[in-house]
Amino acid sequence: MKVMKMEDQYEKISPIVQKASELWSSTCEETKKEKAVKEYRSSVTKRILFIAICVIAAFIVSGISLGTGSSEFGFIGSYEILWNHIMGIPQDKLVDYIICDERLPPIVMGLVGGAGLAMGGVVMQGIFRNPLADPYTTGISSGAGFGATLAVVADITIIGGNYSLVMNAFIFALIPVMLIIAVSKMKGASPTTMIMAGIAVMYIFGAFTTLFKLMAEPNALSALFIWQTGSLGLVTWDELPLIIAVTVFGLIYVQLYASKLNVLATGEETAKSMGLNVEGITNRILLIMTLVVATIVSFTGLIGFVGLVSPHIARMFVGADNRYLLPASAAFGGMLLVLSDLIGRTIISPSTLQVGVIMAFIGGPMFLYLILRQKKVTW
Amino acid sequence: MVTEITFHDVSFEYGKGKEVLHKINFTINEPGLTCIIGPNGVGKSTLIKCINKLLKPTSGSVTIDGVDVQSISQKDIAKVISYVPVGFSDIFSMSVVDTILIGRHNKHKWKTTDNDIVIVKKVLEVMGMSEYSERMYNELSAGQRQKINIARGLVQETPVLILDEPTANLDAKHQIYITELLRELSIKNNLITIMISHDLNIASKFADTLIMMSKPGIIYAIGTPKDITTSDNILEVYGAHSDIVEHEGRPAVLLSYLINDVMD
Repeated sequence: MKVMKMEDQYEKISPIVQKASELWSSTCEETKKEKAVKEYRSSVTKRILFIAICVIAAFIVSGISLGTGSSEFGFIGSYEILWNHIMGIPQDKLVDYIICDERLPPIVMGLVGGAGLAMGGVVMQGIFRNPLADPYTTGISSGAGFGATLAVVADITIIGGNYSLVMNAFIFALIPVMLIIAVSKMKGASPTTMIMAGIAVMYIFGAFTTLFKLMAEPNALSALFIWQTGSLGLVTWDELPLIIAVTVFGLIYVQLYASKLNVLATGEETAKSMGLNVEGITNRILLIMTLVVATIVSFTGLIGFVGLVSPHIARMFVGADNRYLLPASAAFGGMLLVLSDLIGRTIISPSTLQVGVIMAFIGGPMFLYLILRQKKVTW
Repeated sequence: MVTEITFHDVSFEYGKGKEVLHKINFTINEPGLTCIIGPNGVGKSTLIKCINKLLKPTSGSVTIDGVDVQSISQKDIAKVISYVPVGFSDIFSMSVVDTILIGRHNKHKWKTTDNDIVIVKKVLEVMGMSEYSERMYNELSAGQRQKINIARGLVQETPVLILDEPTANLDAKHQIYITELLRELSIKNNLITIMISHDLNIASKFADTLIMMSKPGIIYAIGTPKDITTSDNILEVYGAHSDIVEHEGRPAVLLSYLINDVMD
């Protein structure tokens, strides 16, 4: 069946359409062009400014945290000690030990862990198109946590060697990831259904962990308790290079996909029509983020909410463009975790409150607020 | 430039036995606006999704300038065809500018160039949405979002544009504006634009070609609005009586009562 070209070309055309059509074909005036470019670039500068402020805040909070404790060194004093250590001219061996070997590892863990979990939150919220998703609510952290418990308490590892703990965490973290992907593909699955599935997984892993608690030795039990509430203090310089390497790799990898994540936000069909291999990209990014989260959780235990709260706060300042949202959330998440740790160490000093508890105090109400706001739309 | 889109015996099933399209054959080989009309559930959306490989025909093929779309990568199809779906997603709202910039993904990848910004500015003016550039997408009305979605399609600057009910949420004025604009841009810039419409009058007034679909997923008639928009065709396809009057050289439909006593 061939279509014939219409013979009657209608003559009348709305003047406004004529004008718009001419505008579309015309080249933009230089002054207008400059103004538009300037406006857009200034909005980008504002977003970059927020990222810079978060980085500076992280630096300041880290400095204060470094100087705070049973021995006080002050903000500048602490950085001076650190600087001398880096330059290889430590002044006082004990002070050097306190700053660099005792206080610095948890702070670095906080920065890296917070950044990794926050980025995990951005990615999961974006990919599952769900404002309530983060490594914790999707059950990924609990999966990783259970894998790590198996390794630490029961000495059950899937692969042997130096990385057995991380690999255990990673493999068990993949279970909720696969479940969530399956649920998200179900017809009529709402964002809440997905979170419910994540919470169900969280409970199941929680039950298994409790089972191990009953069987565990008293020493292992107290380690398990600290680990379940989430703590930055478990890590040493021996493990940090691995955690930093995996997280930084993950952050760079996902950042390279930031623009594609924006396209994904328009919905699966539109993204595909714009040439994206939706499934391939989703799987790759989720796999990398799961590895990052599993690595972090293996050494910090379960810290919830940092991955949920950071993206939402960052989004208020930089918008939902992932090119800026990812680094902004990462910087904010790092700062937030170090700040929570600092609060935990000082609020009931000389005792310490686990960072996971502080995060839950901040994150819980926020989560509730989001659920209630979400209710209107999804239930 | 794309000069021809052809359907060769295209059938499509959602699962076995649920045939939605049945042996579709047609060619569009002139730039201009093609409107697909037909009752709900006759496979209009399915048909347009076969053009840009969002769906794969169960049998038959769709060719663009003689090449089977199934043999072209999704990435290369995206360089030729823009797609504006029905409805919209707004889970995380971006600003209007950022939302439209997503349409430039194929051109800019990571970096936003000056040219991208200028095109977005231009499309906002064309859509009459300049003053909303900094607003959040989910703060806009349904009709305004629809215009932003169309804008996102336009900035892809492809020779083929397919739109699923682009005028669904628009008032009469905007329905005319968008449809006439799409037609005008197509003619001026040698584009093939295919849109689904439920408004027989708007489609008849502005389309160069009308494709009328009916159950069970077939093309009932294809041709110029004068040939397609007839009382007999409307009675057969929609089950509604109507009078057709000629208005400015185009058919205008005055719908009357339905013939069936049950809805199918």
